[in-house]
Amino acid sequence: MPINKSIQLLQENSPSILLDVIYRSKIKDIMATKLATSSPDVTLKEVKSIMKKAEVTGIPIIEHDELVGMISIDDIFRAIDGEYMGEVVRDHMSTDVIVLEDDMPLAFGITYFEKFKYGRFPVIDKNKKLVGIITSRDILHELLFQLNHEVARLESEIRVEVDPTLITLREVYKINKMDFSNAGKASNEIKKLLKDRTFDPKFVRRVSVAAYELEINITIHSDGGELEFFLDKEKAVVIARDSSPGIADVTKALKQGFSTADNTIKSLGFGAGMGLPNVKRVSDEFNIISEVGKGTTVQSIIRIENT
Amino acid sequence: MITDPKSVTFAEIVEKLSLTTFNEANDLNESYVLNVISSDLMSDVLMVGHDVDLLITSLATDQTIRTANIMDMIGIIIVNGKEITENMTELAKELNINLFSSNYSKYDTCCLLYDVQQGRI
Repeated sequence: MPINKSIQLLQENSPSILLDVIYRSKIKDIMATKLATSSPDVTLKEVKSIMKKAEVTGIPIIEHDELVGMISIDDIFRAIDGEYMGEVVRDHMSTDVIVLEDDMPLAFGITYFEKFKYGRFPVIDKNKKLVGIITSRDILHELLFQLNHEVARLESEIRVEVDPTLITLREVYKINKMDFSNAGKASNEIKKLLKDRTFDPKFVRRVSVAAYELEINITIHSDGGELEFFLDKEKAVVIARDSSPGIADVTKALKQGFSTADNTIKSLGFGAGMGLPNVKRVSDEFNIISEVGKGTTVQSIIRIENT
Repeated sequence: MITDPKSVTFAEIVEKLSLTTFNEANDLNESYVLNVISSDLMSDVLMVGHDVDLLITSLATDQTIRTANIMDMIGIIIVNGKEITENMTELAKELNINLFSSNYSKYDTCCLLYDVQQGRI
């Protein structure tokens, strides 16, 4: 199915994130590089079994290292109907093959699918050598992946709508890696700030627990980061940011008992895999975004009224 | 017969369990202990959803004191006669938390405290 049948992706009014993904990604980032190919001198029957084995619906035909044609599942159906499966590929392949270049942006690929209504395009490099094949399914998959990622990133950036004039208190603390003599200091200070403002002790405790667990997390798991805390008339917000190493599997990290901590950390009373689940437990809103190599941001919001 | 534990004062606990006092945050005759948690895992302590007055633990670090403070506890007993550092004592003073040391094991400390709360000793 052509990808653009009902969704027009390349519109002027498409969301800028979508356009960004479409122009930023290249064909070579998305194409399949493990290729099933065939020579033009085999029979259609043989090509059919190659396609079946590789679980593809079309394959490039190669002769002397050059792309000379394509055979698609439709060609095979026609051969079965016309009862010429025993004939050679050369006589039945499409030779007016349209190719994409690996350096082209994804946008080109989408235009091609729009224009030519093929299910797949062979991809060549600048030396005209076949390097991959791309299907509309690959594009859909990539778009979904990228958009998912962008949405997650945007969500993490959505600082709760805060009018700066309404913020009654804001503090940012620098947290050092493995600095156990200071770990917990920032959250104890946050607790004091709240206590001094005579908030409900239960509210104070929830905010403190979130801040403390997040602070300990930065100390034991990251290369250092910061803990931001602010307060307005409705809520307290605690944001923990670090720049590395990032969490490989966030879903796992949110499960009670999942821990990557070593025995040194465990001997200090932490690292039992309760940190993030506990932050989530005390939060009214909880967001986490993490990428391996780029770091982690966790945001915990605790509403004053809910306590 | 087991009855619900009743509030006892820190003064009574110190006496019956022969505790050493490292910080006396307030009048021990006036501070009461009803709910107790015993754990060496601070994350477990932080998971508790209700009010707790006292932490019994063999973890003797600054984080022990800070965890107790986060959870609004008024006292900590460090068991097994573990060394309590000066820094821990300072922190307990600063955060207004009663800090004691027990020469009993964690299990025995808990059992003894339970007996005190049950009025058996």
